[in-house]
Amino acid sequence: MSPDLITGMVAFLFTLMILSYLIGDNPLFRVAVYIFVGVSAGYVAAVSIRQVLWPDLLQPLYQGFLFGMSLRQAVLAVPFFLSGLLLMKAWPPLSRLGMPAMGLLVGAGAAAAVGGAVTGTLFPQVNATIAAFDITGVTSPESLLNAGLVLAGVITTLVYFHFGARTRADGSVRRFGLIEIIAFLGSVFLAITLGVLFAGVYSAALTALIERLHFFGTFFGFG
Amino acid sequence: MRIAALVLAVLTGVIVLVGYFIPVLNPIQTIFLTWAIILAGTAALVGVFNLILVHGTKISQREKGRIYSAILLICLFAAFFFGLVLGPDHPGMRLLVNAVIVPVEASLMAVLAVTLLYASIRLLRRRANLMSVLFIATALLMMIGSATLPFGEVGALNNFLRPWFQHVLALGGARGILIGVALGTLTTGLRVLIGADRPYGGK
Amino acid sequence: MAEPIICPVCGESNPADMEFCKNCQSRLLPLTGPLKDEDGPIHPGQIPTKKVTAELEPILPEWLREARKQARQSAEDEPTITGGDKQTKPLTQTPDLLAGLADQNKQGDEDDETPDWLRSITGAPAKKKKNEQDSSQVKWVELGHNEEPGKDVPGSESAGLPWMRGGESAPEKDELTEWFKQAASPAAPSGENLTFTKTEAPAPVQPDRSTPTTPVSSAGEVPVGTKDIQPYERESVKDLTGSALSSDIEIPDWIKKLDAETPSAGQHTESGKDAPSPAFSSDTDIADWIKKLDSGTPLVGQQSESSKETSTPALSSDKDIADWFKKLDSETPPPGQQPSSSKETPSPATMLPDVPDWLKSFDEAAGAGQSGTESGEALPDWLKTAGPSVQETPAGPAPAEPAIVQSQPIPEKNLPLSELPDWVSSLTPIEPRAAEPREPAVPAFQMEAPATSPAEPVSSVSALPTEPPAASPAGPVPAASAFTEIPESSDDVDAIFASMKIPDWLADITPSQPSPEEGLPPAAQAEEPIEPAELPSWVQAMRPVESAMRDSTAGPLDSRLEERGALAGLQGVLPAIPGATAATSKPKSHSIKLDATDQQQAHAALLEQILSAETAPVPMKADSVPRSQRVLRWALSALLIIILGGVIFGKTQIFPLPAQVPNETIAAIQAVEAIPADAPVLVAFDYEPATIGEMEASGASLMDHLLLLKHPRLALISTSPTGAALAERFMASTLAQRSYQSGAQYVDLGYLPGGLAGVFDFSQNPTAVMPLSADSAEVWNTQVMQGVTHLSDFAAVIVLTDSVESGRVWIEQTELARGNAPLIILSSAQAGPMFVPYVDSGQVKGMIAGLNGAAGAEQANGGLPGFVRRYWDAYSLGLLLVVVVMFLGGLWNLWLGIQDRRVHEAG
Repeated sequence: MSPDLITGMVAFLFTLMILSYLIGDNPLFRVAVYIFVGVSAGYVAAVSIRQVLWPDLLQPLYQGFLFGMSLRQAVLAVPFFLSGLLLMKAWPPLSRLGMPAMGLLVGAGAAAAVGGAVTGTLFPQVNATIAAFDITGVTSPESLLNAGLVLAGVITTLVYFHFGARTRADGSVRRFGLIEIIAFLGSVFLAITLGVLFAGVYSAALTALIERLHFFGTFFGFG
Repeated sequence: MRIAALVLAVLTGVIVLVGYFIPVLNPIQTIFLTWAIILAGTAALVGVFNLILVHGTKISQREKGRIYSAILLICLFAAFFFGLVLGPDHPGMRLLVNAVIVPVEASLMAVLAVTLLYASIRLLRRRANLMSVLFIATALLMMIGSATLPFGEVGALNNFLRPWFQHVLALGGARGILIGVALGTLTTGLRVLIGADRPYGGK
Repeated sequence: MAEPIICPVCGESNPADMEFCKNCQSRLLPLTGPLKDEDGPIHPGQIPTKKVTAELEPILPEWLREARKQARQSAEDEPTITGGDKQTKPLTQTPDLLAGLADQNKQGDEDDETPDWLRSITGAPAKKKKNEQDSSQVKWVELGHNEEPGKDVPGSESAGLPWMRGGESAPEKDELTEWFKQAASPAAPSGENLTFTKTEAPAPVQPDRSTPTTPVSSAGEVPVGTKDIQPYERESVKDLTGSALSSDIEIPDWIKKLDAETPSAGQHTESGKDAPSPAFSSDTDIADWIKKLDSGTPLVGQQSESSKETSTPALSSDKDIADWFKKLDSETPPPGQQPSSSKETPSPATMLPDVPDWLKSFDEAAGAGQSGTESGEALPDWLKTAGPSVQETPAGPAPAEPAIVQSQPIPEKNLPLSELPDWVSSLTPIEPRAAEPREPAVPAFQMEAPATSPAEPVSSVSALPTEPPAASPAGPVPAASAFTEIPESSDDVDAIFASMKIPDWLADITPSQPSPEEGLPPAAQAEEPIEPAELPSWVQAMRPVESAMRDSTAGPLDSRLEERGALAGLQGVLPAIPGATAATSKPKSHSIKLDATDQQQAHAALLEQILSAETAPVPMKADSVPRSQRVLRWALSALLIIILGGVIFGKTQIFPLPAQVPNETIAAIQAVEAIPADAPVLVAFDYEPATIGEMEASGASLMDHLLLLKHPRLALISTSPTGAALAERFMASTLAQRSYQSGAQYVDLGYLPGGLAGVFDFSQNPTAVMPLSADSAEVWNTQVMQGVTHLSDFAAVIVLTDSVESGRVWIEQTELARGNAPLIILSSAQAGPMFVPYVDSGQVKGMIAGLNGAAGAEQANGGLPGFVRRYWDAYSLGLLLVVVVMFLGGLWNLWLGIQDRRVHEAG
């Protein structure tokens, strides 16, 4: 029995166990999910150690300990110490010790997110919205209309997420009338966008179902 | 610890952010980012340890479903042991991925096809308003436009209406969402960088 | 100018600066407010001082505040209750926290143990009690004969006999003592107070007060005695005895008649018949039964007395004071008044030099009991444990009673238990050691079986619901404090006993001080006693001051002061002698029903409901899905699986691939074709196994096209832990036709953690961030990665992703470092629409989203590798099927929803 056959049989069993959820929640489904979570967690832990911690942290420190520390290796003492603190978060009584490491993680992530949002999305997307009206780039009235619709979609969508409001005399809280109208248009754009996204999600799910059925066909020799 | 966390967060954030625009700071920026990568790898271990603690507690306290927890822990330790010894790139570990992780996740995604269909059918019963109708109608239009018929395509639908929806109307909405997300990211990130928000536990 | 302070004990007017009464040495001012020694701890055994906690009241729950309010209200009202105004005043001296619950007694619980005769005494309408027969039977047991007293006197109920019960319930006690108080307020200025004279009956029995009463009922008997007894209640123990039977006091006729007449217990009813009252004679005329009662009475009294009796000064060796009277002092608060207030009445006994012999005999018996306590011989444990409380009398200012008792030698009397009947001996935990021979310690009522009535006043006194003596050794100070709470009627008593003088012998009475070993049980003596904990002042403030003070007059079971252990210093925490009376009498069935108002019970029920809701398992909602919905789900599942499975298994190719290729797909193909041959290309595998089918189908054609045309050197990377494995799978199976080998044509850099920070760092310095491959091999100096040191050195960056976030990370974070390298997105259909803006902005050179986008790429690649074609029929048919189902189902559910809303609006 070849490894591929064993793999196929196991995969077939797990597929059946998961698809049994279509009938209803059952122990087979639960067993499959628990096994999946366990295997995934163990695999992730092994990957983290073998592909991240060992080559990037432990091995340089170990080599530096054996053959003398270079500056780069010595600097790794800081993440080594912080990693130790971060592991304390797994134990609730000492979880507070992990706060500095989390602070470094969050700080780096926040800075990267800010920089990436500004340089990768905000400026380019605003620029692209404006550039659509560049006369030199406009090839037809149709493209200009489309650019206008895109601009309308962008603005109205952004306005839709503006939730500033005032309290009226009767006590009700409403947005300004103009904002309300624009926000309504924005909701229309959002509904269309989300509909497109839903179609994409369903297409992905349907493709996954097809792929599983194709796997069945392959396993039984029909594929 | 709170002060240390705050100092580290602000210091790291400022250095990384300034490094975007001042290349001179790139070496320092890289050091901090490398530390962050290492800590992110450690954070994955923290998550796994937490999973072990949770299910270990369920087993020790004989809670309901402890059998499942035992199965989970057995599989976890087995995968971790072999992954650590053999390495994730070992053919045996790839077989494990292909035999367990891939079919289970793909099957869960396949189940989603039925679930989403069922949910979309019942949507109009729960919320029969203009936005729901527009949402469903757009989805139907996009799906019809994505498919072909045995005798060929519906030209106007496949070649005009669907692309126009996706590249004009949905583009405007998607861009608005992306810009909004970017603005939100900018605001939230700056609040973290100035210490106003401390999601790392400093309140 | 400060006003003079009226001594709450003796009523003596004292200067404002006096801390203790110059007459009785009782504390004039309670230790309220700041503690005398605020920071100093208090010791166990020390009665807590009152602490003002009113400012804390707002934080209490509403029901508790209401209960406390009721408690205060009742405390304020009780002293003003007179005569027959309060017919059935609830009397239980509940702990402070439950003080408000006392009003529950007003509602006349059916389970209340108050006998009918007591109800009649207090003026309340007599209720037919279910256990009436039982009550009589109890009496019979105590009397030692089978004769039913009620049969002797028709219409009479066991008026006096319940007094003899050792385990009288608290309500009974309090009602009776309240009645005593009413009877003892003849000099009260209020016209409502009844004066118990020979011709005036107490109001409770005589609704019409203006009419001269015929004191024939039990109510008529008791008041007379009460008149004598009542002052004792207001005085310290030492005052009781003398005043009770002093010749200086007018002896009522019924007492005088007592010698000759021995009415039955049935005469103590409210029947209104002329029942002869037990006539307490003067010191010269004492009935034999009383003399015989000498030794028996204290014993009876002990039935209901807790161990505190041994710790009270009343039990000290005062041979002139009957012990049971001392107990009576504190145990019988006057009716309609707080029990503690009874002690405010100056004791006429202190002014009575003459004590009748029969009372002396009582005293001696009690003294014997006390001596027994001191000797420590044959002491029951409960009694021994009570002993140390005397020693632990706080050093603080204490009333004069303990000191007086201490100075008095303790008469000893040997009362052989063998001479006593079994039930009496069982009641006698002390071994009497009389200093002088006494009369046989046989209860009078046993000697004179029918003559229970004469004994009733005595036995009832001893067995009356007792209040803890205010002058208990452990708690003299709080007792004095308690007096200050209810100063009423002290003036009245003053008026009564203004002419009385305290005898010298009383002034010298000091409480006996048994050694600790004597008071301790044998086990406790052998062991090292637990070191009393020093309680900080804040703990002292938390102690139930009110309850502690009231408990000092609450009852025998509540008055025990814990001296050692964790409960040291608390009073009434544990029952003193559980079952002490059970040996001789029918166990008293105490009501276990909590005195709580309906509102409080509602609150408790609500709390219980909340708690139970917190712990109750929540049923899974999945089980509550209607069957019709499950059937619909099964139908949809079957429809999709059968149709799609049939198409896949049939390998049909009915549905053509779309002829229209999306623009972004064309751009992606163009971008790939623009990549130089044999150039390094970075490929990020950032999708999850869930979408592996779609991603492999979507990316296979373009990647195959790339490999087929340009033979690039690939560097694979992933920000997902499973990405590396998926990348290997993609290269090994999906692109198997290209025969790319790891290390030769591509390298797997492995897992890049850190999310956007990791991608940004990698984009800045890839060689430093990912120095090794997934198999820990050097990659950047290999042939595959030759010439690559920066991200911009790659000819292209291709990202295979099924997530908007991961794709956006690659777009944003590599924006600056990518240089001229094109970014190509191979996306799942679910994320494709969100990448369109980036494609439109030019940040992404090309994109293939889902099967629809991959169809064009596959066609451009000559139909290779064919994944799209393999899936397309099922995909198209599935989409159409879904559209139909969704459309029809949507219309049906829309109509159902409209119907539901109509029904809802109509309903």
